[in-house]
Amino acid sequence: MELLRAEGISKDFGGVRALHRVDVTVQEGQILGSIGPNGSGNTTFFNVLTGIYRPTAGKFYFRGTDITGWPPHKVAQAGVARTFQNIRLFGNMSALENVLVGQHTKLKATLVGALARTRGQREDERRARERAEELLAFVGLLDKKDEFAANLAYGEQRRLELARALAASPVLLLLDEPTAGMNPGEAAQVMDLIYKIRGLGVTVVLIEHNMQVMMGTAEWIVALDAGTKIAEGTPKEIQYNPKVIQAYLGEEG
Amino acid sequence: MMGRTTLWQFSRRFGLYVLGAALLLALPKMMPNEYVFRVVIAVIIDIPLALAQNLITGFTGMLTLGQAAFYGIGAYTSALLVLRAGLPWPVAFLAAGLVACLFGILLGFPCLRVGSDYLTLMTIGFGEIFHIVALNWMDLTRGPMGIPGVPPPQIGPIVFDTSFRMYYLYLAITLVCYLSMHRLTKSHVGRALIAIREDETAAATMGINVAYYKVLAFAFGTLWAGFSGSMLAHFLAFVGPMTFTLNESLFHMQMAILGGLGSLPGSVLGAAILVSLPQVFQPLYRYRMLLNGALMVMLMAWRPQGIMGTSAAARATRLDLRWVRDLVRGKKAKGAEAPQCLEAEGLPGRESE
Repeated sequence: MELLRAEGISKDFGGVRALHRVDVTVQEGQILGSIGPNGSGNTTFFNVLTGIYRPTAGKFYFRGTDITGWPPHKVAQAGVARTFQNIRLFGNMSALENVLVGQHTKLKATLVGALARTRGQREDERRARERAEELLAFVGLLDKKDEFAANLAYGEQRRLELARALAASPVLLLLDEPTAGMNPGEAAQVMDLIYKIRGLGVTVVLIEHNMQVMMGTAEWIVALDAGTKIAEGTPKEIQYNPKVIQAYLGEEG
Repeated sequence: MMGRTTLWQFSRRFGLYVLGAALLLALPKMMPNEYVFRVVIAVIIDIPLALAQNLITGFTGMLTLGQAAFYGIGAYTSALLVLRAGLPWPVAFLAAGLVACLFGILLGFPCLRVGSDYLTLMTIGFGEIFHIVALNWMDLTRGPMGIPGVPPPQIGPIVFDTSFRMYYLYLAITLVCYLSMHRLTKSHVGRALIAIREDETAAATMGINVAYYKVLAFAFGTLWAGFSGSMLAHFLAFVGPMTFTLNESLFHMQMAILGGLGSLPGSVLGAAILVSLPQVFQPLYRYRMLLNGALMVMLMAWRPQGIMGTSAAARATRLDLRWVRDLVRGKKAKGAEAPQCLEAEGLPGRESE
């Protein structure tokens, strides 16, 4: 089953062409990896997909619906969640509150419900807290639930961002370099989590520079260079693709 | 924390409520004279203003300086509806809030399109426009002469024409304000507002409709400024344009900052201190602004986050003026000591928490 189809996505920033006619198809239940040297357009691809930028050209179809140019909150409500390359937690909120904000789209409570503090609203809030604690336990941060996100260690912040993204019960999860800056042990922990997340029926798209991690995790890899898709295939195919090797290591000679 | 509370916690909290309620109910009996009583009522009128500013600036992170306009819109609406249209007070009161709220929403939309500094300028601009309109629209507002003879609030046969009666009416209104602000900020709505303050882009990708919640904060804040305006008009029995200037907007901000951005009890305290202090120091009236300035500098020096606030809200709204503290204490600003590249202090062990 096809979950997401990107057709001819282009994005120009003034004269800079960040993405040029990129086609990507994501199958349901897949872990799709997106690689490319820094500046090759991977993060821009996430940003145009989640509505932070509008693509210059091209279309996104999510579960058959055209979501091109939707504002970020609509894309999120449709079931797409993401993390950021440079962690963007709500620093002055507790870990628990961060995950509660992540559940925003799932809450049934209304403005009136909040003001009247109806039974339904309190029930909703209680369930949200339970679920937030479950998610914190899932990423191993339950004992830190009352700490300000800004005070958590780097690796913990990365895991909290994962929990916050999962809180929306997404269909598609976009992870932007989830293991960046981690040592091999921490990275392995995160990859373990990603497997578990896929086990929950969530489709994952992953940007990652650590090829070793990528080879062991992704089922399908798309390689970008300077905004253009240069190759796609299984990890094995990508590993020996001369264009990919050239993009990463430069011309042989 | 939600969930189960122990009997002790419950009884302590319940006891505090009872004590607070008894104090508020008995307060009129403790008044030494009418003058002090009027000051207390002025505090009650200003509390919603401080809370409204706090909601918009402290929680949502929008630095607006135009609240005086909405305060004024409420005051004029209420006075004119009672005097010219002959409507009963409850209708005029509700209309005051709703009209201010309507203008708030109308101003909120263009404000969404601009960055934070421009938002501040736009709201100052709106405040000035309101002031000039109030000053010059002779047919409606009687310009600088203002509107005298605004009658006291009246519900059916009950006329709230004494301080004693007005106190209970306004207290009830302000309590509703506090309760609604409390519930709003403690709900998913409040979380969304704080998330927007912390990181707008991240909030949007969590499915939060940033525009909606910003306008909501605006609407709620201006609604209560309007209600406050109505309370003021019927309290002073007069509405004039000179009350609603940029100075008044700055005063709202000052109340919110002094009490502490992001703290509702702080706003109550901020209003109480800043409204009553000039009355206490009446003999020093000429030096009022000087003392006010000194008070704010002292605050920034010792408690930049306000009396009850969290530094988080101050930081996030870029109202963190810790540099003033450093200036007062004679410290150099951060980054001034260029030659020093690395500093390590107390490395072994972590600070206990």
